[in-house]
Amino acid sequence: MLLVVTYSAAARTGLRNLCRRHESVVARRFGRAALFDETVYAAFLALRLRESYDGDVQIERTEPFNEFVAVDDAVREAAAAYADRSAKSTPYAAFAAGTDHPDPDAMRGREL
Amino acid sequence: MTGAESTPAESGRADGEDGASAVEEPREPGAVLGELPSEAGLRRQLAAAARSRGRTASVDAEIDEIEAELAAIEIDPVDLAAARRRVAETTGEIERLKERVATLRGDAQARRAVDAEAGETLDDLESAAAELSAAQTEAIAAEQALERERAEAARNRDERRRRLRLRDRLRNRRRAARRELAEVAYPAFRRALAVVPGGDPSAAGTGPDAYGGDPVAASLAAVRIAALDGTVELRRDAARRIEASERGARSLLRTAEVRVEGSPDGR
Repeated sequence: MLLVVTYSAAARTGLRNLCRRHESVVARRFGRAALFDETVYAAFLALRLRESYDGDVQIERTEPFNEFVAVDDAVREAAAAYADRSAKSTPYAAFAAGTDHPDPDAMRGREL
Repeated sequence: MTGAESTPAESGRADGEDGASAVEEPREPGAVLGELPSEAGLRRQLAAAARSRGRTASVDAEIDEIEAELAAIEIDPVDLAAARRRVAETTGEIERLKERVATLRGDAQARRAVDAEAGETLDDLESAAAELSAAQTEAIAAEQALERERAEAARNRDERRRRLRLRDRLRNRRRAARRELAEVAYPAFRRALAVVPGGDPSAAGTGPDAYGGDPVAASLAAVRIAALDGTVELRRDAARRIEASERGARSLLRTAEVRVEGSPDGR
């Protein structure tokens, strides 16, 4: 999908108006951002907005996230185990220390 | 006033919509009340009247701080289009060269299979492969350049986001200041309504939001309670109101310089 983020009051208003007029292309709306459908028309609308407000409009393309493709079992298992931990105040780094769960710094250093 | 929009690089298309007007400028009392009927809302007119009498709002210091912060923000334009286009072009070039290499390779094999002369084809293949390799190097460079520019743009957008928040806060504080000043001016305004033509103190209600009377009378009353330096020009309805009144404009409005449309001496 297309993520459109605005950075000025005028661009934010422009996005709001666009979303109101073209509801069918808008998958989700947030305050000053919106997710558009993955269609050429949605891209056209996003480009029009950027033409009007230049650097105050950011357009990114998002991909669906599939954790079974993007990360190892260990990462998914660590997320589940940590969510299920008994001591709620334990930070993840302490939780993972001395276990097979991946180290947070090691994960930070690895690209998806 | 905010100065945040003064970077020359930003004076492009969006400037008219988000430049100087990104946060509405606080106007001088004379600009709000200098010409009646006023385009400003009642609250803004009353706040201007209060300001003209030297009243200040409790949020004024905060407003100054926000304005100073905004003035210090400098934002460069974000333009990754050139970098993106370069990536797209190098990618397209690689596709084209890959196809050419595959074709030439097939050609050379076919020639060899029938013992035909393949020398020229092999030369072409060799140069196409070299071109492909160069294009791949170029593509990597283009990707890296785009990455760098994206990182730069991300920092730039952090600043834009900060500016947007400050502007939102500024707009909010200025509104709070107007509300406060309008409240302060309200008792005097109510009394002035008893004097100006068309005015009715009983329509004043408890505060600026509750005013249910005539808008022109309200503007006249706002001018009456203000201490304006410049000339007040009365047009259309405002001029007719004053013309129809038995008292002179200067006495009604307690303003030295009044010009009434259609009456050169202002009476």
